[in-house]
Amino acid sequence: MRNLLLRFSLLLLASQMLACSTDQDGNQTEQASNTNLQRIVSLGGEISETLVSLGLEDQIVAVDSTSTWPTSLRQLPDVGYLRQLNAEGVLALQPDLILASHEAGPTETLERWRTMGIDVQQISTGPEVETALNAIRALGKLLDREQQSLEIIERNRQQIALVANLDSPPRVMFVLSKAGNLPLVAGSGTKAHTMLTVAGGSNVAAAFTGYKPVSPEAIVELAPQVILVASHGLPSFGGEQALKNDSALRMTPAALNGYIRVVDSQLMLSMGPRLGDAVRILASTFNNYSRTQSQSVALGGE
Amino acid sequence: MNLALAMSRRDLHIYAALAALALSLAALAVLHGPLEGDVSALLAALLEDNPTLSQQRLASTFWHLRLPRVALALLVGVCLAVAGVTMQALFRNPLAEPGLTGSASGAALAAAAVIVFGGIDGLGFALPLAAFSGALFATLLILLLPADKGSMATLLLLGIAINAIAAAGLGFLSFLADDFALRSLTFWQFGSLGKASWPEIFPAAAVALPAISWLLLQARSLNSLLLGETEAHCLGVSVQQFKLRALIACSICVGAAVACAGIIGFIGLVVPHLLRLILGPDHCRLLPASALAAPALLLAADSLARNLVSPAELPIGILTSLIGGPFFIYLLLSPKRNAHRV
Repeated sequence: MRNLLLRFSLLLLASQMLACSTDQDGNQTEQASNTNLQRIVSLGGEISETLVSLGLEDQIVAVDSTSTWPTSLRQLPDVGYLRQLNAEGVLALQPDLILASHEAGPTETLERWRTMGIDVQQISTGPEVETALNAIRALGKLLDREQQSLEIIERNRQQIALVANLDSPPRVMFVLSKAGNLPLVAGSGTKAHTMLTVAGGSNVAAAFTGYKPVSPEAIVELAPQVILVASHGLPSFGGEQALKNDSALRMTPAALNGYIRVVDSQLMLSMGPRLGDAVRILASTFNNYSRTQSQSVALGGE
Repeated sequence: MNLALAMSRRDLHIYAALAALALSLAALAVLHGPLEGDVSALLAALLEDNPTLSQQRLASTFWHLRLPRVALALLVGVCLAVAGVTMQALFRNPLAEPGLTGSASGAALAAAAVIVFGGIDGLGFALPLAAFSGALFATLLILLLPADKGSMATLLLLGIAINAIAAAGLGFLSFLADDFALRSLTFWQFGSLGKASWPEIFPAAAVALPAISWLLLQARSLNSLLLGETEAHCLGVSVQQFKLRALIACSICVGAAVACAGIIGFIGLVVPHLLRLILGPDHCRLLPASALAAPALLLAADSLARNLVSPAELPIGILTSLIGGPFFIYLLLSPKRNAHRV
């Protein structure tokens, strides 16, 4: 018995040493290559995107699991999900500055870092256009890139201003994924809601808040004319073909008109510096839809 | 005194081995982590009068990150193990686990309510407090219902009902939760020692230690209960009173553990079994041995959770099962141990 316990603890020790040695090697090489730069840990997809668009990618030493764009960020150490941060793991990266979305946590961990003399800045990011743009401004100020941040904001505002006012906004439903057997639909208070509203659509599910599963019957009742499906949720439907034949979506006007569209989740839902691009893409889909509708109405009238 | 009577030389060896294992794992956990710095660097950082910034960080990591984590692992391990052993004895059922009478799911429900309605920054002490109260409330509810308390089967079924109701409540709260609260909820239910901090550990320990000590002294009564309730009564155990007290003590232990660390499965169910295979069913051995082995397993799992995927962190529940599971199978398959099987 004792023998067994001993072997077991040795095994454990060995695995720890292994984990430790790779860690240290990684750190040393990083430190050598950018000694005169700030070491930033970025927690939050929109924050990482903004840092990159402000030209600070070379100062980011680690990101969280929601930072997936640009894909080059995936090469960096991943500190995991931003609500479940490993206090010592992040410390080991020797950061000078931790930039975190207001969602990051646990709060105690952020506090602990602060007491250890690390500059921890939390930025409110939000499901509204103004909070999203303000976050970019706040980051620009913090990082001495205010002019650039203002330019990014201006470009986004222009793109949003270009959205045409449609006479009758299309009825849009945003589907995040399939949860269990039901599509998870974006209600109000979500980033998806903001995006499709700003792009000139009308959210058919605005009556509830957050992402909720909706039954096939209720979806028929909601009668969406355009259905947007987040790309990361596509596998939960079983691919593009299965999506088109989905029993819950198939009986909607959107399916009849061929307006079930898969959209890039990271682009549509991060609300970072590419906000305007995302709005432009959505608006053009809605415009196309309106045009085909008015044409078919015109044809019907002849 | 109960304990001393039962100690043979072989037992002493096993206790010593388990204690040594727990202590060395604890030492490993405080001396080593993802942050760079070996033992001598750590000592230098702790003893230095004018520490540099990196030394300050190392020292602070030691005092405020590693030490509370180890303390919490010890506390949670002992709580879950002692409650697990007691529940299995009370219900004379090998599948009994610490949360059987609804304490864990009661805690989960209360915690979920705080997470969903409290907003992300309003948590603080509300979350552990709610979890602890939820655990205690669920058990008290069962004990206060005017049912036949003499029958463990009734208690068990009431526990199942409470668990079902709590699960329904949890499901409803998940439905109400926004995306963000939902993920917090999921992680909370995995359990983690990552939030360990002294201001949470001290009150939890103050509440749990009396319950733990009392339970550790009830080995004889638990042994008598194994023979049957009538036999236990004849042996001088006031069965009804004892069961009520033991259930409340267990729910205090579970509540304190869950309040600080969320729900960490496997430990309370399997560690007692594991030791029963080695030591036999005598609670005079089983209780103290479990109270040493569970923290050891938890420390081992937590060390791996912190270090394996650093800078990220694995949910500890995955690792307790991953380490404990194969070991358990090995013991079950090992022929010479079968003699001891309950």
